[in-house]
Amino acid sequence: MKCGLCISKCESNALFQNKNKTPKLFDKLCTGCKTCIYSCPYNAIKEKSKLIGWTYFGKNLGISIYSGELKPSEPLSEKIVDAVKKRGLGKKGITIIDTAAGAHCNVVKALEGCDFAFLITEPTLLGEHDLKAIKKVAKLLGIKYTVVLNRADITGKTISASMKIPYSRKLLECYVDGVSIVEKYPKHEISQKFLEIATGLLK
Amino acid sequence: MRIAIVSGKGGTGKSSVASSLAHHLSKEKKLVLVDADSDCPNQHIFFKGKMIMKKQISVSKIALVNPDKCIGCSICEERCIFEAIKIIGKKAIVDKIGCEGCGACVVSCPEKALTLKPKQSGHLIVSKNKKFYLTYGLLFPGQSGTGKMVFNARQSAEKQAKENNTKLIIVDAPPGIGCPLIAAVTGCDYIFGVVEPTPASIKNLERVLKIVKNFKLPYSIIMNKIGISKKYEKEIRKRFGKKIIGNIAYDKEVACLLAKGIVPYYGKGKAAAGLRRMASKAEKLIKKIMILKD
Repeated sequence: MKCGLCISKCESNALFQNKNKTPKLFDKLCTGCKTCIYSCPYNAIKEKSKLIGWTYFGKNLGISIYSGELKPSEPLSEKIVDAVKKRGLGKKGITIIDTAAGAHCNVVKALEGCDFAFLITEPTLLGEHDLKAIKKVAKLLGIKYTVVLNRADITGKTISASMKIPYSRKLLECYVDGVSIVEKYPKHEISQKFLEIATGLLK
Repeated sequence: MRIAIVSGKGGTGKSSVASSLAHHLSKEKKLVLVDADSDCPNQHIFFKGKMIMKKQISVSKIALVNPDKCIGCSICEERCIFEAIKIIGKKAIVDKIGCEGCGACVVSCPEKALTLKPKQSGHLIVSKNKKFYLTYGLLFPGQSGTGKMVFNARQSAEKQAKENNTKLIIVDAPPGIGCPLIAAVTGCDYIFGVVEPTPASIKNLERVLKIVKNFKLPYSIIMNKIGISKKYEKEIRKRFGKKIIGNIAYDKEVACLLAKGIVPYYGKGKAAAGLRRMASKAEKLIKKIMILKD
């Protein structure tokens, strides 16, 4: 009926209407909240699903790995995080979640419902600054956390942390090759530190 | 002319490249720098200056329950796709972090017990140092609306540029490929992609470039941290070839400079030299495009 009610109710500004024309939807901006559907007095709006990304599942070394991928040019990354979590959570054993960088809503989504968080930083002013932001997020969500300082020894600056990982060419090498240091160099000082943490977590 | 520096993966050196580039270009040109990482902005650590504007802005809303009107019918709970509303003790309670402010509950409530209220999302800041203006958003932790915050920071950069007759705007983009990245590259004329020789970085840059190509934007690539993997350096050269305009060595000195909040451009080591070379190459490129644009 071109009443324009849905336009005024859409908080994502995803609906647009030319004078006396049927409203148009910019699907990239639509979050799927259905406010327009509920507000339309004529039941003129229908819901359709849309592909915004994929989730994956694989197994390696006895670990189940769930991951997700946002389709490039789609903006709502937190929806993918949510989908991956829904698929992977509730399984037996310990669940480890590797969040995105920063303190964006997809990081918040990843942290929600966690029992404990490791906050990783590096000894630079930039690292220190961003650590403050993520600490606030963790506090807001009521998640206990501990700080891990990576490349702890290369700048001379210190940040208080429960675990310090020194700079290591071997660690870098493992990262580039896509294997974990614990697997490749189990005797290495850093691997031993990770082992300590893991034993602590299991307790 | 608007230039964005992107990478996809965090920690590849976007901020180092952006700060070095801004510093180099500001020797000759007027410019405005936008830090488009509104969750964790960093450029103000390098470029301390006089704050000329700091205002609280709202980029999102939150649902508010009037407990006197709420009858606990739970329609709102069923309809909230963000699962941010729960009926506790026969009254609706809104989860402040989960609520996206979409208003589905407001239009659904038969008792009209819910309203939408703007929430304070963060600060919009404009500062001025000796050479240029810096604009950035600083979102309060846990708030949504990063993309909109980036949009606001960019708008205020446009305003500064117009007022000061400045033609060049540099955008330091956030990591990832979601809404804040899209907000950072929208309307740009040229993109610099920063990549390090690791499989994760190459993959993530390719994903950002998909978006860049969607916008049909021209781009160049800057390879950072050379020396950590011959295999992936080769891979990057194979993939991007002539698009590569900067080669920056891996150098621990950069971390030491970042620890003190100094733009890595100023270092004595190999990486700093690489950044300076990259900056003058980029400058020539930018001048060429600016002439073409005029």
